[in-house]
Amino acid sequence: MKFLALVKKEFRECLPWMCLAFIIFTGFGALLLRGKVLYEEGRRKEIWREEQVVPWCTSPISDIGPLLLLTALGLGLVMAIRQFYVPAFDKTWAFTLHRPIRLITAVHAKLFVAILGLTLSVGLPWTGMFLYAAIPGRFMDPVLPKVFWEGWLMVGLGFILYLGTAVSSLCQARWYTTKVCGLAFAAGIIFLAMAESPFPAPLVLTAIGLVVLGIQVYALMQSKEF
Amino acid sequence: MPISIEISPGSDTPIYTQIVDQVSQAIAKGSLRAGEKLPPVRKLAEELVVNPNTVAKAIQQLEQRGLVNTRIGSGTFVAEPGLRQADQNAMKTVSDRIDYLIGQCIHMGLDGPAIRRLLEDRLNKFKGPKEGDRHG
Amino acid sequence: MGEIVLQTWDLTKYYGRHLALDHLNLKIPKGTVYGLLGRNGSGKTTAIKLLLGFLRPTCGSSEVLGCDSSDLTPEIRGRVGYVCEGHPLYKWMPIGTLENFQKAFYPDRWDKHLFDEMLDYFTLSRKQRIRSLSNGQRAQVSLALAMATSPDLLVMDDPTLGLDVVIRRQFLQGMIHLIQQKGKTVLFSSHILSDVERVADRVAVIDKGVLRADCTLEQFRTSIRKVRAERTGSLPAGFDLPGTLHCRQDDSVTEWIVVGTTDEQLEQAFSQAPVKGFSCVAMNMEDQFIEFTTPSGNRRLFEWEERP
Repeated sequence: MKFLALVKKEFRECLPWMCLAFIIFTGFGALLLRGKVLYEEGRRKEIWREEQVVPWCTSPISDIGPLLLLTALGLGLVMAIRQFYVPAFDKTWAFTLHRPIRLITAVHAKLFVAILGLTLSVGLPWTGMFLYAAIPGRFMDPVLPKVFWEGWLMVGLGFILYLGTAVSSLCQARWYTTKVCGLAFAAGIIFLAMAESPFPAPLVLTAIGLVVLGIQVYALMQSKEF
Repeated sequence: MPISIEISPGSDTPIYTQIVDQVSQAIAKGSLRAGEKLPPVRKLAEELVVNPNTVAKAIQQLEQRGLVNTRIGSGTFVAEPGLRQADQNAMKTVSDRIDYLIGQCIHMGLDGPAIRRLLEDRLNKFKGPKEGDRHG
Repeated sequence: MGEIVLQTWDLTKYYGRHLALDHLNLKIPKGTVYGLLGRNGSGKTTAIKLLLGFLRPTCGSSEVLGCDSSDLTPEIRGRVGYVCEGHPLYKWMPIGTLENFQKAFYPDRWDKHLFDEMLDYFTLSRKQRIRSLSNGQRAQVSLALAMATSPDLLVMDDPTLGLDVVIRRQFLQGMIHLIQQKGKTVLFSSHILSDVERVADRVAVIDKGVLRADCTLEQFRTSIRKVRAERTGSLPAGFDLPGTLHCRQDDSVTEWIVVGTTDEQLEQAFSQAPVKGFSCVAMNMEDQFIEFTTPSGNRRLFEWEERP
């Protein structure tokens, strides 16, 4: 009951950003996809005319990748600011934390909403786009399942940036000292994960990032002064 | 409320003293008659926007002076004139106050006769229980 | 003293090198309205935030309803109402949504009838969003939200700062309404001495982080006095009344502000002095507070009751 009330509040506060992310990703993503489909139709005509065909270098759906990453990162960043930085600014921490709840419940509600937001605004549309692209006959070149998981990894990186931003927001040091560490660490993880590296590495990096930043968030909330 | 009590928090006198003084004055002048019921402490506290303990203290002081009686279960009533016996403590308090007032008058430059005249003048403004009608 | 609802032991807080609170030792008994007085920056907000676990003490400790402040359980928080300066609330929420939010946390204690009554009295509608309310109206919502949770302890940190006399009166009425119920306690900090004088049973004065007074309101009012004496000659060097806070002289009159000095002590002190007599002048609470907290050479810690 109490958790639900907190979740509702956090959800409503992040809702405009989730909607924005959804519109941007779905809108531009759909446009991109549509462009690919039209190009594909052009290709088919060329093949039928037995002309030289330049094969796809990458799976057509992969071009959605950069958009997905940017949207996920952007949403993660903004949600963390809304949830962890703004309450210090408008002093509503005092109201939120004087509820008859354990401190950890407030943190869980925020994290839950962040995961939900990324899933609904970016993850699910991505799934939809992938399924659309994966329909047999849509594209001549096979759409590989690994691309699907890579997409979700990018959603995970969005959550990493969310945690990094949360850590930086909660940290009470100055920006030019350790306050920037959370963001820097998250950026490092994201960069390394996106660099060309053999398969398990990005996943492992993301997992490490989640654990380290996650623990930091809990620790900072426990020790923070409001 | 049979009388209106005005609380001035910024004044020199503590609030409970103000309540005691004003109720005493009202009884002395006749605005509050013998046997009349005072509002309960809760109601008075809410109306005056004052701590109920302060009101209770004022009532207690009035009781000590014999001006009111509290009957458990019924409330607080203005005491009959005959029962308002001044006890020793009350007499001392009154004497101290008179000393204080006399001190102030002396500081203001009034001499003995002037002080007596002032006292007479103020006494005439009161209608005591043995003198004539009461004014509401 | 009855049951203690709030207690501190040498509660100290440093912000860097700035000492905000210096070994505060307070005991607040159940059923009192406790007024915390102090000038701006004296440490009142720091004390309250430490009590409610929003700050960590540099040293010392405190307890609320028997629970350590740095680890207040949800059960204890559920019994404490908190209204803080500025009344920060979620700007986007309509009052009705905020009511439902608050209600969800206090399922057993929520007093819907009181909340309705208070909204009616303040002429506020549930559809109004917090951002559209004035500071005073937001304060009213804050008060209603806190009181409708039927708190055993209501803590208010300068709740009427910058608000008009009508709102201040409403807060006082709220406090009195609460205190009429058995076993409720109110702790509030304020600048407005007349408000404190109306509703407080006990007062504490914090000055530059140090507790300077902790007694009943009556003791505070009757202990700080102005003594005037007309001199007939110059006072001997080193002449001093016990408990002097300040001393002022002009051509013929000397005035002392004294704390806790009895009449007997005054009689004794003046018996040998070249004065024409002395008188005690009553002071209003504002003057008492000012004299008590103005820096002077002689500071006196002001404690009247034995701590059990």
